[in-house]
Amino acid sequence: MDTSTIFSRLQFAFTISFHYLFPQFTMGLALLLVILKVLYVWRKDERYNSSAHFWGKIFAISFVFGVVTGIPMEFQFGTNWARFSAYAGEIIAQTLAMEGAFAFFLESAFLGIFLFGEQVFGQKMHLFSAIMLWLGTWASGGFIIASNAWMQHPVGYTMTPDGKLHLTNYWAVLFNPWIIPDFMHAISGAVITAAFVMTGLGAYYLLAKQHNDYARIFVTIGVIVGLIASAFQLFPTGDMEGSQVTAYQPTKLAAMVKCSITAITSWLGWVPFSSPSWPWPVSCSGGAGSSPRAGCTGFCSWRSLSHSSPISPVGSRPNLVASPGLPSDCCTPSTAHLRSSRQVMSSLRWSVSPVCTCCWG
Amino acid sequence: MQTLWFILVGFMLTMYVVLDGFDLGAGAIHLFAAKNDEERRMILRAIGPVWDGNEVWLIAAGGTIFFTFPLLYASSFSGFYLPLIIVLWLLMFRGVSVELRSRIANPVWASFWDGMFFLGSTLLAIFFGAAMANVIRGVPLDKSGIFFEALWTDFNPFSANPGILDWYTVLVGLMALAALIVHGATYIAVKVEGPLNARSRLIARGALVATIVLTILTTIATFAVQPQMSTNYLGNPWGFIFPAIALIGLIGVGYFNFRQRDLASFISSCAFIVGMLASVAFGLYPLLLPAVNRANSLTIYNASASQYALTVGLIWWILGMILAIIYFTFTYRTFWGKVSSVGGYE
Repeated sequence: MDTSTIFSRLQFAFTISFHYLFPQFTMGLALLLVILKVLYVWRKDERYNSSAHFWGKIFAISFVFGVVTGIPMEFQFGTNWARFSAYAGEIIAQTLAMEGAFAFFLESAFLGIFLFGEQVFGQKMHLFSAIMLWLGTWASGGFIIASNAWMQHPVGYTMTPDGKLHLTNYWAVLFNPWIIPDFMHAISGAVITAAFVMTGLGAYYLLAKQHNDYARIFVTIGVIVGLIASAFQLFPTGDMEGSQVTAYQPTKLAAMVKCSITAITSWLGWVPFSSPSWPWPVSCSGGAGSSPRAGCTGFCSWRSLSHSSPISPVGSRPNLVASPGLPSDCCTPSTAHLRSSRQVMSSLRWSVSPVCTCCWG
Repeated sequence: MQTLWFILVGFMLTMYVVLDGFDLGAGAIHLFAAKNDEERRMILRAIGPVWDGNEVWLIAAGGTIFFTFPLLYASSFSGFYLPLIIVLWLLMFRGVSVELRSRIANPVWASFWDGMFFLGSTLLAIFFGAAMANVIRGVPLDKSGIFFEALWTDFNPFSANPGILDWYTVLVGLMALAALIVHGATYIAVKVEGPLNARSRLIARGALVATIVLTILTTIATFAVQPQMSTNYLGNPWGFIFPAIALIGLIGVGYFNFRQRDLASFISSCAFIVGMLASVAFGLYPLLLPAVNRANSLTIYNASASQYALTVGLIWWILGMILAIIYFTFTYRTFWGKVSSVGGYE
């Protein structure tokens, strides 16, 4: 791989990882804000409203960081992956642009009202703006996952003889079966993040014996929501996601399993995969297998194996080999249906993909 | 269908410049218009509820170009790699400075973010102007639609290997800065009262003189640099309606400024920007990104997506825009009138 490709990958990987810190938090926090506002309207306890103001400020600042780190992500599709954009833009940019049209305008309008309009409009409107903000952030997540789902599991397209990709079925792209498990798994992850942040701050205040009233609210809501979301993260969403990867992306699964096992065993001081008995030549460090030249013939032969899901040769298929180590992700090597080590070898290239998008965008 | 999308993309970019233009302009003047911390906060409160919504027009326009003209998105974004990364840094610093300045009550902290806000806003205005000038002038596209431009080469817009910055693009950049300062200053005048209002009017007046001079210069230079302009205008004289709108807007800004009718002055400034951008779009049509070697230019025909994609896109786009316009009308009505001295950014 040439230097500019490596740097392009590093740059994009940094952009997308750094960006995701913020929307992951705000998507979860938006739900918690709605909960706080509903509790206030229901119980008429001023502490809930003050809590909503407090977290609203944190939401605003994280939201702005999300916006300003999100613009580079969109731009870098063009600046860093121009060939991919020209090739697949007609399809993946449909959902990207829909995110702008349907979610971003909604979010930005109601964030302004949520932050600046409480005195003018009163409580009902304030609650309404919180709900719209919540719907907006989640819709935004849904659209970006629709774009990513197409990159994981391309549908509704055709390729002309000159190698151009064209959209043929808009509804198939919008209702890609990949979206639902991906979206639910990502959203529950976001709710966990925000719930843990809220719990953490509440716990700190409790231990420091400051703002005791508020600390109790933060910990109570944070723990309850965090517990529900954590369970949901494992089952059914983690399980669905795991089955999906098993069925359509055996290579990714193999990489996940190997990386998880390597991480654990090397931590214990034992490296099992240097022995020739290991059947899957999967490399976690991206050594030999990451050469694009080595993969080309392999990719073609992989396609000729008529895999159940014909994957288009999109130049930058994203994968994230950073699973949270769920049972469904790491304990099912027997279900991987790895037909041959050749298949794994040839499709390995995709697991160390140029666009290291995390699987939830 | 391609022509329709050319107009719609032009509409989105124009919305971006008209809306984000006033908060860029406000950022470029806030160090000079506001004399103390209280006045700076008033300026931030005037743009606070709306600026990130305004910036969404840029993201939405980017996404729309991406799926309607994928080749244009790919070619221009990779070719303009260097200036775009600079623009991204400026957008980031500018965005976070609005949010961070009042979070820590420390004069040094606030001054630092005020400086960042000023720098980001001013340079963005110049860079957006220069970007438009690069598109008008043309770029060294090769047959496969690829190019790369250095930040500067020989500063000559007629060269075979032009850079991002040459005397023409810098001229348009300065013109954009002057026009957006007028735009921002008239907006601030609408939104605030007292001495800040008077100073904003004064700044608008000064920047207006600069805008008039620079507009005349850039108009002459544009017709010299891009021959497509004269072809379109002489072939279809009805197109002169767009420069006429810009001219009426320019006169209106000055007239209403002296009559102290701030809102009318701001609306005239909007008309000026709409007229100028529409004039450029009319002059370039059907080119999207002219090449130095004319045969390699990207047009609305060779860069567009398939008819099917453009058609389904149009259906949801119309729906999305209706919703967006409802939100915007609602937000601006909500925050209508002069900003008070209490509220956000305390």
